[in-house]
Amino acid sequence: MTANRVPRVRRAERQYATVGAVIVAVLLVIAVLSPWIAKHDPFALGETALAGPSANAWFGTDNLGRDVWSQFVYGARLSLTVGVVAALIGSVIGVGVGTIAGVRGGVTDALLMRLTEAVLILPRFIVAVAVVAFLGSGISRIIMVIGLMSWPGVARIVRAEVMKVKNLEFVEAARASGLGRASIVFREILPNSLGPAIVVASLDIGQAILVEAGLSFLGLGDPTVMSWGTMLNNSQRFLAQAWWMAIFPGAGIFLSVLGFNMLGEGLRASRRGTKRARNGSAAPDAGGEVAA
Amino acid sequence: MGDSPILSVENLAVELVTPEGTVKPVRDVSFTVNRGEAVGLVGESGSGKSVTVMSLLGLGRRDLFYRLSGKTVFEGIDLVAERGERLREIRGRNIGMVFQDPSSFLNPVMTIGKTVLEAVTRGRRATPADFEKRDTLLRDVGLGPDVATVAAHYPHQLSGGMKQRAMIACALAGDPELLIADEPTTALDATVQKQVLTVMRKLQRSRNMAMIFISHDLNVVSQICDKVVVMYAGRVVEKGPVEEVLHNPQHPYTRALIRSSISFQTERGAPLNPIPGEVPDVFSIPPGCAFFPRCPLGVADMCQAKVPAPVHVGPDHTVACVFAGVGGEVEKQPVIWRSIDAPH
Amino acid sequence: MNSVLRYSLGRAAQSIPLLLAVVCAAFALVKASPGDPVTALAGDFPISEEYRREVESRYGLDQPWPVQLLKYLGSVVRGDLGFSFMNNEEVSTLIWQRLGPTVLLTGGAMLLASIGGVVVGTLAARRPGGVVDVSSQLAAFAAYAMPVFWLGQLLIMLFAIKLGWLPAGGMRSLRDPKTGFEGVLQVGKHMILPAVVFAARYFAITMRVVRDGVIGGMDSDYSIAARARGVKERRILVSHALRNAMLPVVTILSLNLGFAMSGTVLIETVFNWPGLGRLLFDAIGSRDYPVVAGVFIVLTSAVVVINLIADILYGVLDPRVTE
Repeated sequence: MTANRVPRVRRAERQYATVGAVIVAVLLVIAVLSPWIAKHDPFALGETALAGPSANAWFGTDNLGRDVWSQFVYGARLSLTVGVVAALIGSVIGVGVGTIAGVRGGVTDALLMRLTEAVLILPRFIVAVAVVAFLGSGISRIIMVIGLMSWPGVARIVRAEVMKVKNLEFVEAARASGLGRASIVFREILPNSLGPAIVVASLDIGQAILVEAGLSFLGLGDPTVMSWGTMLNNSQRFLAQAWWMAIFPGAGIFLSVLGFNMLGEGLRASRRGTKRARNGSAAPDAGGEVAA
Repeated sequence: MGDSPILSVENLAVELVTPEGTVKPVRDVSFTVNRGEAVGLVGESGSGKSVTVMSLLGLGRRDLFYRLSGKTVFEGIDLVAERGERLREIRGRNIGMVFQDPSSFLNPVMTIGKTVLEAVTRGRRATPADFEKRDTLLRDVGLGPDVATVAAHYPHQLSGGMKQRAMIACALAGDPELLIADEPTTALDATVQKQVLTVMRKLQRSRNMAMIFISHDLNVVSQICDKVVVMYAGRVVEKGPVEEVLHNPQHPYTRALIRSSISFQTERGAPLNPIPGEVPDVFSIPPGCAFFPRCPLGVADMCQAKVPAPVHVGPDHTVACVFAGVGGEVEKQPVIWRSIDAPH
Repeated sequence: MNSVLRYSLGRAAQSIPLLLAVVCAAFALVKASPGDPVTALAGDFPISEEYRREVESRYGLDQPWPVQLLKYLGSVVRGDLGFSFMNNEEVSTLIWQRLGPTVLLTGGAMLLASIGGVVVGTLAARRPGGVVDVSSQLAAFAAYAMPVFWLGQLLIMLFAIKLGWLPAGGMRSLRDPKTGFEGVLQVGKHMILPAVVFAARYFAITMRVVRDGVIGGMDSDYSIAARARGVKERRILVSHALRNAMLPVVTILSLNLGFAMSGTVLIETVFNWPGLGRLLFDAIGSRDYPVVAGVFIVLTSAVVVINLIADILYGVLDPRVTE
């Protein structure tokens, strides 16, 4: 009666994770090996300004003669660092809050959830802009701000999972065998709840990269480090003359975020399996908040 | 109740192509429904009852591929062979369907009035006559006399029994000749069950509709149906007039079903008799007679060699078992069925 | 309707502490910024002793900070967001002037994103796994990962610089500003690129939500029941599946609007659009802290309020929520 198209979609979804993983791996390599891959100091002024890509300067040079390839490589290092560390901070806090809320329940849960919703509503990017504008733009501060705004997503997911797992048989068994509360949490509940959290965390990495890039684009980045966003800021005046100043760093941001997003989506798809909600759900989509 | 078949199902089989593999939830089902007759379709979950009736109307999940074989003749039309428009015309007009859980089968953002109206108009513009008809339907199922108020309510504001009556109203909107009810009272409380069943029986009789009534509750089937068809793992294992089959069951599965049925008059302390074992998973059905692993009578050589063919053991009473009519435990069932009309 | 009203008031009450927190946060940030508090409030601007004394009295700098906070809260509630010495203008006036262009751009972009998202999402849901579905999902993926300012630059490079079809920035042509009907057209022309760039991401989100919702709706039990009644597929798609799928769309639209406040800063900077975002950017550059604080409060509060409206709207549309 109806054509069987769903398996095709599902196969494609599983490939996301692989492609995403490849992209992320490449970027990691570039980031880690940056001091050796870059040909020059990214801040070193050069002689030829605004020169296009050539054998000498793979990605061309900017208005101050600096080598764009070297800038790109160090920018990769920065973006990945910010993304991973900020998401890590957010995840740790999120797991903590989510677990406590899920395990405790009652008033603690209600209060924590209110707090989570409140932080979720706030526009991540604008808050980051305000904080950096007033308090200064060190890179560690930027990472902190982003991290502190990304915990609600993880918290919600972890809480939901904890509540699901809380009453399952093996937890009852553990409780019956007299294990202390804390060890039940760490040994039984947490490991089984972390699956979806990892998915959200990888999406958070992408968001973090975008926020940092946005901040740098507005001139709020740390001037002592080379960031893709700062490169784009710089390129704004030279869009007509030097396309390479905008194309490469922008592509870098795009591909990094894409890679992490694909990784996250692929993980989510492979976990979901073939289950599908029978009735069209009227509840709003829980995942994927937007930074900027 | 004449002897003119309105629906004749012959060797119906349904094959499903899923991402996990191909399964056959319905393997060989044959039965007839006469005009004005109520046929009960019984079996545990997983026996293929729902898929059977759903495929009659060409209903199913959009993401699975269904392959039907056999013949289902409804008033001269072979439903298996039909597609698209013809089938859609029959749905709702000649054949009406009541589903199991009214909570999920009624659109939550549409009022009852709108939903029943849609059943009447089937999507075209509504005329005053349609509104009248809707109100009459609501009254017929016992949602009157203030139908206007009921019509303005949303499904979640009504009780289970009222929702199910609304569904029945929808099913009757096209004045169908055949009503299919898929476990209509399973999701309801015992007291409400009786009310809804009473309504259904009354309407079936007054409109002289044929009915296919799916249930796993033999008690109810014995009250409402004229004929009963017992299914197991996608096949019919026994069928015949309801008195016959329930008081003289020939198939071990039917006997087990009856024994495990909770009659309201079991003495206190009498143990429940669930059927040992489980319904086979649709991906791995045993060869030959699928009931063999759970059957007290089974003999491997005879029962697993091939699927038992139906054998006549009485007028209109057939059994698909190698032991049919041959010695074995023929139990006269002393169980007294409590009438659904009796005070609870 | 009574339960809806109760629900709305309840949600509104919940938002108030958040709004207060936003203003307090702005206060805290200004206080915590390094350097001379007068500079923080007046901007990095050479001022005379007379101005200094005026600033000090206006903001009550000699008093303990809880008093200052209350004073600040009081003035914000009254609509006084401070004074920009750099522009010699009340912050609230500056914001008011720039509000129009931002609302215009944001509104246009969201409209584009929502309508486009619903249309494409529904088309994709009609045939899951088909051409429209797969290609739109890939495009959505890309849009979601795309840094919005880079997309803007790309489109500027292509359509403005290379092809010369559309202007590269601003809201009106500086050399030849027009008024009346031609003025509207001119603004429209300038609005195309920023609106498209702005809409991309939210189009992706809306499309995904609609697609999933409609597919779910088409497979739902009530759709099966409708089919059993002989209702046409197309009507099921629109009246049943889409109707139910629109509930999350409304919420998503409102949420998108909230998050769009963030995007507005970046878009307006790239396209030199004279709105609140650009105001914020300029104020940061010139260290005009009162303006930064003021815009922060306005934008963040707008997000909170929009979310509140979204919740209320959802309560109105979905009869189950308010029970």
